[in-house]
Amino acid sequence: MIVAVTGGKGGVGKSTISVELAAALDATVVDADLGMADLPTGPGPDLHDVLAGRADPVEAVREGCGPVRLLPCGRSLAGARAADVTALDTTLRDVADAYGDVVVDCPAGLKADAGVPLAVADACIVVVSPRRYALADAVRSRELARELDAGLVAVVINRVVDGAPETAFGETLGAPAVVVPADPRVGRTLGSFRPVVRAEPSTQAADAIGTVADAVRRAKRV
Amino acid sequence: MPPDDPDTRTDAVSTRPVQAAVTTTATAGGVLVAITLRNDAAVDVRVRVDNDLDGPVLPPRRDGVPAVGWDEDGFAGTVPADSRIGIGYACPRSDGPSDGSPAEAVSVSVLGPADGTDPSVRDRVADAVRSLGRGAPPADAVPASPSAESDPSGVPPPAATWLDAVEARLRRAERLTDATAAEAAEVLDGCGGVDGVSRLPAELDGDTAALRAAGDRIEELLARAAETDPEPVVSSLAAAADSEATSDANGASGDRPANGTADSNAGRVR
Repeated sequence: MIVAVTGGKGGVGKSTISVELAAALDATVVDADLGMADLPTGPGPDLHDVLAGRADPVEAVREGCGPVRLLPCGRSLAGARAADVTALDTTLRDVADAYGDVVVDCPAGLKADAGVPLAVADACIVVVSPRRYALADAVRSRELARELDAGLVAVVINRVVDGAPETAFGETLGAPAVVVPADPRVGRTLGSFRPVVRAEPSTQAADAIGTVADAVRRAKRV
Repeated sequence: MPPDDPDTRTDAVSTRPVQAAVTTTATAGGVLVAITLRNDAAVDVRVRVDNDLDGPVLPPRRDGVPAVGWDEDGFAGTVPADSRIGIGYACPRSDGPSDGSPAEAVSVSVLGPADGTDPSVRDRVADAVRSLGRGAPPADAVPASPSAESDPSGVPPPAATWLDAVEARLRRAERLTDATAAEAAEVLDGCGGVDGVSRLPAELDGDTAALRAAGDRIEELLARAAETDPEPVVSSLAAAADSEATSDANGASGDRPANGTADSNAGRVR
């Protein structure tokens, strides 16, 4: 199953939730933010190389570099320009064939680089910030996903400090809204590349990610 | 395109209930094919148009993705009831303008009434790119690699890189020449303190010597270049090789005398 983690805005925590969810599902996370990647990278071929036809998708997947298998993305503008976003289709399917479930960390915005992962994915998770106006962002993201046939599995309201309008989100979007409380340990997931679902499984945040993972598993069975 | 253009020809093809008007225009790079499909029936009809020219189909594109309905062999789509649609593509043929009629450029087949499951519009990835637009950074935002960079002054890249480095040192030296304490401090600020400029005088001496040596070499090469004139000999050699190749080709396929004519036509156009 290919799950896209999306949300129109940047900085809402899509990358963090992607890594956490991939860890919970034992899936491979693909950093598809071609222009503004932020998952760790390192030497070796990356998604820019794969989408430019210079590397095989499976050989670009990093195994054993951390708790989560990762297909990282390059950081250069030249790489972003040379990458053919239409090749993401076969890339994601090849990775899914070789490794099983794939979680795609989508870029912000409504351009094709955000749309193509949704067009390829079987389902999507929308991540929003706990603000009133974030509901409109979530609706727009869901509309794009619906247009591209990626069913909405759950909405993640991320970094909640004191209560979130989860009922309003759930009713408006027609999918369960899951609250991930603000937790500095989650904030460190990307930097340390140690997801809380593995490092701190008894936290509320890990519990919430587990709920999202369960929703994905249920969608998979349908 | 003007109707009296000698390179443009039109033919009618009838595959009931669809009438097709096929127009081909020969251009320097190949052939442009325009097709008008008219459906006389009272129902939407699915059609398939296949390219029969000897070359690949270059379809219309949006954001780099072929327009809806196009694949590598041609076009598949629906012509609405009692109306018409226009489509067109380019075919880069290496063997010059076609001698066949425009109707031979394509074959039109009617697949039957449209049933709402047009397979041509089901490529969601291509649809996403076409409708949302690519998010790639514009070319101007991408720093050019040194090898791809061409110096506007016409200096070849390796030499331009060296000259730019010399010029950067020279500019720094110029600012430090007869500088006041404040001006000098400003330069030091920009290059990381005294350490950044301590080797500047020695480097500049080296640059001066290298510039003189390069200048001498350039002058010498320029003088030698001015005395050469290989063009007449090269063009006569090329002409001889050309006529030999043409006679070989005619000898090998004696039944195609048009070959030589096409070649000489192409030569005259150029």
